[in-house]
Amino acid sequence: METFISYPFTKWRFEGYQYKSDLIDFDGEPLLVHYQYGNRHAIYYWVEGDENNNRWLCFEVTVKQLYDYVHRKLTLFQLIKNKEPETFYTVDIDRKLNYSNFQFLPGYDIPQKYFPDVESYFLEDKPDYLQEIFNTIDTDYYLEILNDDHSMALEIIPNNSILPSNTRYNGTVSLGNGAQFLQKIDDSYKGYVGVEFYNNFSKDFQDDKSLSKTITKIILSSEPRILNTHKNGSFQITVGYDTVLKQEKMKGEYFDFRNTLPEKYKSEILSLSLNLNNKDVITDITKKYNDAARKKIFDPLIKIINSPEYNLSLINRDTNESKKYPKINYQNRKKLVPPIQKEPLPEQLEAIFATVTMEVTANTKLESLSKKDLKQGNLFIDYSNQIQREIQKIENDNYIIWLHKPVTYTLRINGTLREVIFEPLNINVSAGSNNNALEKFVDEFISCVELNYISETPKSAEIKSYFDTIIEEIEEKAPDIS
Amino acid sequence: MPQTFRNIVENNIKKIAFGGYLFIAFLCHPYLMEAGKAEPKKVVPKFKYEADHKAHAPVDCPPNEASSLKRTAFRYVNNPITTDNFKTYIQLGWNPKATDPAHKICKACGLSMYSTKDKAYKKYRGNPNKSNVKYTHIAEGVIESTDGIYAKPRSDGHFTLHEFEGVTLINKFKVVAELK
Repeated sequence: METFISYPFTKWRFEGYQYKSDLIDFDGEPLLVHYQYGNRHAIYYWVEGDENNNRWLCFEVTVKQLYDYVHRKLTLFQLIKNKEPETFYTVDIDRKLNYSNFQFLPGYDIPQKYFPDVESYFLEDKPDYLQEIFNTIDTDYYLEILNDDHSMALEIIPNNSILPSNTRYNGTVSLGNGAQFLQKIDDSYKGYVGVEFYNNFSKDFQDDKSLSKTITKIILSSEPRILNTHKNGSFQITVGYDTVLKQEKMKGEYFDFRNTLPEKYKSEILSLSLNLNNKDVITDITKKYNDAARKKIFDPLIKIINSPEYNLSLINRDTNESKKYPKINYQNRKKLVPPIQKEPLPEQLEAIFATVTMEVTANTKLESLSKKDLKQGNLFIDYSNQIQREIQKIENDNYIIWLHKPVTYTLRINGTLREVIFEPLNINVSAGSNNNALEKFVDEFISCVELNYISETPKSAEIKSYFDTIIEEIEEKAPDIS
Repeated sequence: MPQTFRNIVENNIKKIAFGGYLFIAFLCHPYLMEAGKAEPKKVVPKFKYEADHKAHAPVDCPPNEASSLKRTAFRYVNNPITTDNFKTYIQLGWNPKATDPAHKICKACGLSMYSTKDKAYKKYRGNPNKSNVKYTHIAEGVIESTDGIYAKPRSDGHFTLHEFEGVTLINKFKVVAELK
């Protein structure tokens, strides 16, 4: 056994700590063991042994240190090295689990032989119980983790050379410009998340509705976070992206994919955008992203790059080196973000239905939506001459018919007419307006119920059995005696 | 005097009774077998290191869920393979590493194996201090059901083989990869 400068003591430092698990074992034997006492954590690391005893180097770790080690942000070597100013403990344990020879030693005096390999990353599967311990870290160290993970720094500096001298508020950025800058970064990143998700997973979805719902969920959970803002007068921000918090009801595959996007956005969009006047870069971008995708990702970015009032720079967070985005000339801008051509609509259609999918808050009222909201929040618009609607309650002056589950009818525009089609009952009614067509449909439906379901002598046994399967209850309305 | 049928029966009653007993036993044999009354006694093989189990290991060693099935297995060895490479830690006189009663010494009475070469290699790569590893290679071999028993491999591929008495595995394993 190694001899080293240490100080004996009589009571074991980690007495009362409970064994949690073997973080690493090799050939069936533990090498790194986790102990816990309340919210305190200790690591026992096997360093050497002889025929009588095994020696363990033991030290306390914070939840954050444990998190970083288990998530491979730190090697065991770094974990121990970083703790050199602290105190470590050694204990000799025999096969009957007798603890003896307690020593404490400063981290700087740990024998070289006891240090793990430099590349000693944690390669085991993370034990499930650790997630519960790490749940506290998600809130306690959230900012720190996001800073470490994929954060990026951007800066806007007032462009005094362009502005006329009477509007040079020397060295300062207006709050409005700062707000616009933040909004555009947010727009560009969210656009990127939506486009990438669509490109990778749209085939998994059977219908546009569930795809759009999932994209909205992914985008909302990907909202960039401000980690830091500083720089006198000018505006420098560090932007982070959540890769930590559990996303309930999000498929693991999507969660993992979402977490790869910040790094890709940094390299494939922000770094690439430093050369948006380069012909080859433009060709690559136009090959990779279609017009609509470029509009979502690059348009907001170009707007802040080309702002006449400030210059945008990307800061390397390791070296603090700043790279200024050159302004993009008109021709290149047109190539990158051409105006999106609206699809020509068939001439015979005087009106169409537009289904708008947009992001709103849960308590947004439809009547409060403005033109601006529609412009900013809209994700998808589907145009069609017909839509399908669900109905679960059918009501006229005499009856309310409750159905077990919604049935679907089609509302179609046919020239100046509006048609309602309900295939199960072979109903096809038309009128000059949507409301009139719907009223006719309801009347038709209810008269069919009267003839085939309420009547003691149904006209059609087939329709009756259909009503048996869909009708839950019929409420008869009291006659209006007023 | 000619013997009547009655006389014959009376004179040979013991023989007839014995014959009847044999006849009934013959007819009932399959049912008795089925009921387990005539099942041959199961022979439980002895473990190679039974004395070690008794001296060092907990009561449930080898674990109750262990079974004997033929499978491919991988083990850390040296090149060339030595007889020591197929001895348990207890047999080698090594002091099994343990910090807590949770570390049952049972594993040290058996041979550590891995379910795949990749898992064995990954485990080696995850060892934080490779200079302490006494092995240099990974060997592959096939364990027969007559060789011993083992519990289902863990997710990291590790399982412990408890050999039956008289089993020698060294010749069944061949070096397939180097630990580097």
